[in-house]
Amino acid sequence: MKGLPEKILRWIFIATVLTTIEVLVRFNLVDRIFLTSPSLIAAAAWQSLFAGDLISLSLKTVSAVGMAFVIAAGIGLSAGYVLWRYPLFGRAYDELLGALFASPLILLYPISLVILGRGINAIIAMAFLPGMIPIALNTHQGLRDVNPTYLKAGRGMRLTERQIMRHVLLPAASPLIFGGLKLGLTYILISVIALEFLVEIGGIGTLASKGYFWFNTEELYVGVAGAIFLSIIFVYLLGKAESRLFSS
Amino acid sequence: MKDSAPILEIRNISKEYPGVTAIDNVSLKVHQHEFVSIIGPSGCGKSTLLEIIAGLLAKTSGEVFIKGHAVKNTHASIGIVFQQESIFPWRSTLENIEFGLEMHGVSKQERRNKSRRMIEIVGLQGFEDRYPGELSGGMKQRVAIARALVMEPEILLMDEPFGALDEQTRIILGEELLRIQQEIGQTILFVTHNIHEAVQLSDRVVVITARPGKIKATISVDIERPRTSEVIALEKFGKLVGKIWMLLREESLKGFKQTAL
Amino acid sequence: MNRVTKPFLIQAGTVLLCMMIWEAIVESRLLFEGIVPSIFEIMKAAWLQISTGFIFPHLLVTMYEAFVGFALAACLGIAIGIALGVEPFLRRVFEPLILYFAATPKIILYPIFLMMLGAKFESKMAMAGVSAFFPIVINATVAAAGIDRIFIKVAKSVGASSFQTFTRVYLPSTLLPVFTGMRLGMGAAFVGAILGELKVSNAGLGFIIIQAFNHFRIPEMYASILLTFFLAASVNFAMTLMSARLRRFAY
Repeated sequence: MKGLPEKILRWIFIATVLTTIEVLVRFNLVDRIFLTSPSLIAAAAWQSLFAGDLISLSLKTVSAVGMAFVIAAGIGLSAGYVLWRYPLFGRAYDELLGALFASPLILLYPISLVILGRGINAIIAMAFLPGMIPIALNTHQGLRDVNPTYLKAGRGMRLTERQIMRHVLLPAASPLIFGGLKLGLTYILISVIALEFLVEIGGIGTLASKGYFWFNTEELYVGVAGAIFLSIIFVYLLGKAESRLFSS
Repeated sequence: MKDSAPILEIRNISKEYPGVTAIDNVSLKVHQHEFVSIIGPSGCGKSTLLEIIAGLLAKTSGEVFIKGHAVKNTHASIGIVFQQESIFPWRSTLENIEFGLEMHGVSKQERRNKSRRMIEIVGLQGFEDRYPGELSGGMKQRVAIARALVMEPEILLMDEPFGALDEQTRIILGEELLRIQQEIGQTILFVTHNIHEAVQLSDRVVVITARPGKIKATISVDIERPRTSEVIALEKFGKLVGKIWMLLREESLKGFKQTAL
Repeated sequence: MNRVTKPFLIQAGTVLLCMMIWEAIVESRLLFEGIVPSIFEIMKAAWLQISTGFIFPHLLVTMYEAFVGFALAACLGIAIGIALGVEPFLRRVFEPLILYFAATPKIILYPIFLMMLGAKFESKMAMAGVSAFFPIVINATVAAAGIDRIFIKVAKSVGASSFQTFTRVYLPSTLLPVFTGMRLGMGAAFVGAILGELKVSNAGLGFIIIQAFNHFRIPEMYASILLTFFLAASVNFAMTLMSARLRRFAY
């Protein structure tokens, strides 16, 4: 079992942090308005799970993420292909998209709210941009960086353009393309939860905001923990999928 | 000369890693001004041996003597040149060569003087202020050699210093290395996997077995000095290469089987 | 025409085209009437915010929050990053945790900061700090772990002390990637502070954006967002210039 001691130590670290908080709260060393104990959060989450709030809020978040991702992947993948097909535009738009990606896109959300109204459409629109850009850039780069010798080998075997695309280009570029999809999905998730929190229109991100405004410390922490938990599950699943697809 | 005390002696050196013996009881004497090559199949522990002598790696047992004194750590009389690119990319040629002197608090003026002289010796005039990114592979290795030599080590350890270079550059640099040795007069222990290179440069060639590395044979190269690379054309040269290959062939085959496992 | 000018013309053309489409939509009055102001109107509002000096106190507040948060994150991030990078075992223990948390929306922690630190500057500094911490620590870890072992062997072979090895080998060889992390962290710090201001605040760039939004002063809202983007781009540009400078000391 390689990496076992690391794993154990990691969990010991997490357990220590949680226990410390638990002790601080249980012995009233901090104000309970500020901080509540992991066990109380877990109890509140359990209740909320049965009441159905937590599940329905999570589903709302996941469906917003899903919709934004489908749109971002569709447009991003085709944009990446077009950028590769027309290298001059590819070079020009790589820089533009890169600059856009580096800018604080999320601060545009008030505009999105003004134009699309206070609803899920505004959230999807805002999550789409930071999701689409890495997908387009990685698809472009993946196709562009395919070792030219592979293409020569393909032509040498007299494959058609379509065969080269299907059997040479795509498999060779797929790790980077997948990396782009992974990055895009991560950004979409972050954006969706952040916007749900900022705008309070449902979803897991709203819970923390409501908890704060109603001075409901348990609800606040359920919201925070739920949002973090959801993102960690996403990242975990993406990592698993990646190592399964590209184990070599 | 062989009767005088050796400048470098290693006695019964062994190195074990968990489950593997890399070096098994190797002893070797190197005399002043000698050029000794160590040759062996890949994975035979020849680089490990060199790093042990340099004091960069701990040994499991055995001892290293320099001029009769046992040494454990890095030592001022030893300089080392590596195969990989090891010159600092954030320093110019001159600054790279000055590195060791700087670490020992040598004054700036003296550093400059010594380094400039070294630059002349290794033939890097005009490239003093270039950064490694602007130098060819051969020039980078010249810098690495100069960086080791400027410390005036009596013994220079070289771990496949020309391994990453093309054949022609390698032969020319080998010729220059002999010229530099002639000029400065240090002792060289040279690790290589290239038989021609070993014969071109050495007084003696030590053949190491496949893992665990042991000394299989020592071949004297009786080609007189000073040598140029023209020795490659000598009939004697071909015979020596053939003789060493016959010793190495079996070991290389064994080495392949080990790596296949 | 050479390799550089052609893509540049395409970029300029694209930006110009987008602006023309924007103007056309506004002028046609068919779509988004009253919620998408013309570019001239936005520029006018932006100029007003600058010329009256209205924006500067808010700009200072945001920069103050972002810089303090960033400075804390940089100290902590670089120290932890280098420790993890140098010690492979520690890296294997903690890096997965860091990577998982890096992929979570940091703004979700904001209500906790609000409760603990209050609604004033401190809670935004904390936002800026957590946002900046992750890019910095990740880059520092990778940089420190990526030092070629051969450089350390060379230093050891000429008898360099461990202090010398740190200042002459570790520092120069990690300087640029660490600085890249700091540049990304600085951007993240600004976003973090402004997002905090957008939610709960009474000063700062985020505050004036959300004030304009709440009072439906649309051109002003666009103008404040535009100026915020401009600030973010300038800071990024300044740090890029600095890293070009650093290249002389590093590589």
